Amino acid sequence: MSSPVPRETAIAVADVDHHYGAGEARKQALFGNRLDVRAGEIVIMTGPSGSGKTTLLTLIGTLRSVQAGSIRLFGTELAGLSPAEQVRMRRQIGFIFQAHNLLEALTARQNVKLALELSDTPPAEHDRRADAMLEAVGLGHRLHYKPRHLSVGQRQRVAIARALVNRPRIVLADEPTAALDQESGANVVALLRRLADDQGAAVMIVTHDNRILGVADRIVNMVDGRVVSDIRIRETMLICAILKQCDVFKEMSPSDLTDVAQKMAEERFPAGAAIIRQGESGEKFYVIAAGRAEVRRTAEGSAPAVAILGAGGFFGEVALLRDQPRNATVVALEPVVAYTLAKADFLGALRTHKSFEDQISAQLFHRG
Amino acid sequence: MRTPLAWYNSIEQPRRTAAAVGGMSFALLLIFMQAGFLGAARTNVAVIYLALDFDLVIHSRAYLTLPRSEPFDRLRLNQAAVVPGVARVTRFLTDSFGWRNAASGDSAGGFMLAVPADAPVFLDPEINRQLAAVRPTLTALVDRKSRPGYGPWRVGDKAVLNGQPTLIAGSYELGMGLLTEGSVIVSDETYERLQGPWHGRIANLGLVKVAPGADVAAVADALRAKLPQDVVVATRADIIRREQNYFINVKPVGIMFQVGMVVAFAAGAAILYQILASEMNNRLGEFATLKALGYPASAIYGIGIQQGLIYALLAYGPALLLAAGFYRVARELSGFPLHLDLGRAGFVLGLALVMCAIAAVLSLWKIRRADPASLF
Repeated sequence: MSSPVPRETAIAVADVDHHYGAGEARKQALFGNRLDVRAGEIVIMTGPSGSGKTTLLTLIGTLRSVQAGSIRLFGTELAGLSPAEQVRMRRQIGFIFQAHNLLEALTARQNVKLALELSDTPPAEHDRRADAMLEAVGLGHRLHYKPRHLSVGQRQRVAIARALVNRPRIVLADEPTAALDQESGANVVALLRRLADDQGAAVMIVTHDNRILGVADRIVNMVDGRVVSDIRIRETMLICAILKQCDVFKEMSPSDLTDVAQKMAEERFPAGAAIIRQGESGEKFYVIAAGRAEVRRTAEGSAPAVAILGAGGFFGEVALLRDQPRNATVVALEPVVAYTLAKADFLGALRTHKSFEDQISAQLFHRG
Repeated sequence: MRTPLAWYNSIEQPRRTAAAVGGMSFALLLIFMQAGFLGAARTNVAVIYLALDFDLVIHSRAYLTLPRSEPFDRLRLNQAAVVPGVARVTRFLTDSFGWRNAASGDSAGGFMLAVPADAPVFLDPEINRQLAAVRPTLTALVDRKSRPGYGPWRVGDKAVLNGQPTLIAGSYELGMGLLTEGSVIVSDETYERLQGPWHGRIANLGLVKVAPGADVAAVADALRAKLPQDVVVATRADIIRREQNYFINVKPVGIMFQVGMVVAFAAGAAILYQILASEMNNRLGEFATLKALGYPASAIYGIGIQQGLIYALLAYGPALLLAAGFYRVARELSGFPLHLDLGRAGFVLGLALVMCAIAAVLSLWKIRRADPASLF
């Protein structure tokens, strides 16, 4: 499992409302939605039809104008863009539609070139780039086929090649695997994963296809025009793996662990920063997802390092359990990504666990 | 967009394209035929003027058109002859007459043209040469392009003109086309015998030739200053234009062809619109996809316009070839002066492009409905 690397925010949705129709027929489709997607993240959106996920996708894709609220793509505000600016914005986005939407009169290569012709790629490169992209989706032998001579799965892969050929930093996909068999679907998903990992693309996929949930960093569920849950799957699994090592949590059931993990927030610390200080009151529990930190305990004027914590390390629970000030200082030795759990959530989680008292004593005994 | 998408779209559906091109070709061919007839009529109605050699013409103020030219006092011609710059004034008489073939009994109508037998005012030297032959009274030259209604006749035969036996002293080739069935040329003396003695005092036209080096417009002004208000002086170009205007724009002959052209044009535009609109309609999803890819609306309208142009140009070629063929056939069958000149070829091409523009503008409305947001 790859460790999280700091990435900029690719898609920032804030307070977005959307209405369809006018007058009596006016109907609200989105209600004050917030959603942030980082570069390199794959977000799967689920929800019943009519839940507003498609509307949100078309707003992010600048296929509709933002009515209320703010959507930023890599810092560029979409609200208030002129139609011409919207058109330019779309060139930065790769769209994969449920229906493949290829141009019937053009061959696979020509379809992919249509997208290339909008980029700065020198025309002499177009054929080579288009062919390489089609090769990447396994269609190197179908360059000169028109859509009607391709299978449904092949057409969808041509559409994906067209969406990805300009290496977009944002990919919006609507049921990209619905028409594909298991293997083609897995290939497409692997392709999207590679685009996210290697090029830091933010990928949003609307899907009902359970087979591809595993690729997602997050799963966002929408109901009735609202984001009702935003589960950071990969992050949660990462946190659970660390919590499993921690004595306080090791007896917990997977579902309780997941609940705890989802309450944890990501925090980042530059090298040299003090994460907690000895003597302060303890408010949070920390697990380290990436980077190394040093534990120092001040005694009689000197502060010797007593331990080095790496990825998977945790600290801060003692002060919470004993309701005492911090008994040590923890300093980041290199940039550290940590997940933190607030005191109330920490204690609440332990309290729901039946061997709570035993846990506390065991923990306190070990740490002395 | 470097990919010639409009072209690929056009050849992707050969049957649809063939229907569009065939329909438009037919409409363009109709336009070619109507324009050809109109052009021929234009030449035809001025055929008599076009056969005469003159710089200026004097006609009655009440003149409407040559076949219905009110006569005026021939004294005006004497007054005109002394105006400086005038080299020659020729009295010209014309009226309809009744023809009867003495041998076969066929009878028909036609125009009788009369000039003094010693005045070579025709452009065709063949006619001028034969004028001497009609010096004797009751002799005439007969138009070889007269309709079959004139019956079989030969030079030396007798024909009955307005009830009087007349010797056919020669023949010429003029052709009255749509105007009437045929024509004869006689001397002014014969004319007075056949049409009535009172014609001795009148003229229908005075054909003026100006002296070499004289300014035609200045001579026209001098004539206008000299002559009373009952006659009008017109240049050769003016009188021909007036004659054409009368037939093309006032009489139903020209209007008929013009309406025919407008109908063919509208039909062509409608066919093109139908095909183009259904093409655009079928491709709305594709156009929406292009918008989603980041193509501006103008690029997508461009595809529609190009496709209209492709249809129009593909239709023009066959129409041009067919028109050339049909012109030839019509010319040989009717003797009507149908010719395919560059001007008319260009005119019809222009109409084809206008047709394409109209159809494109109408059908492009559909492209506005291509909504990329509907693709998700």
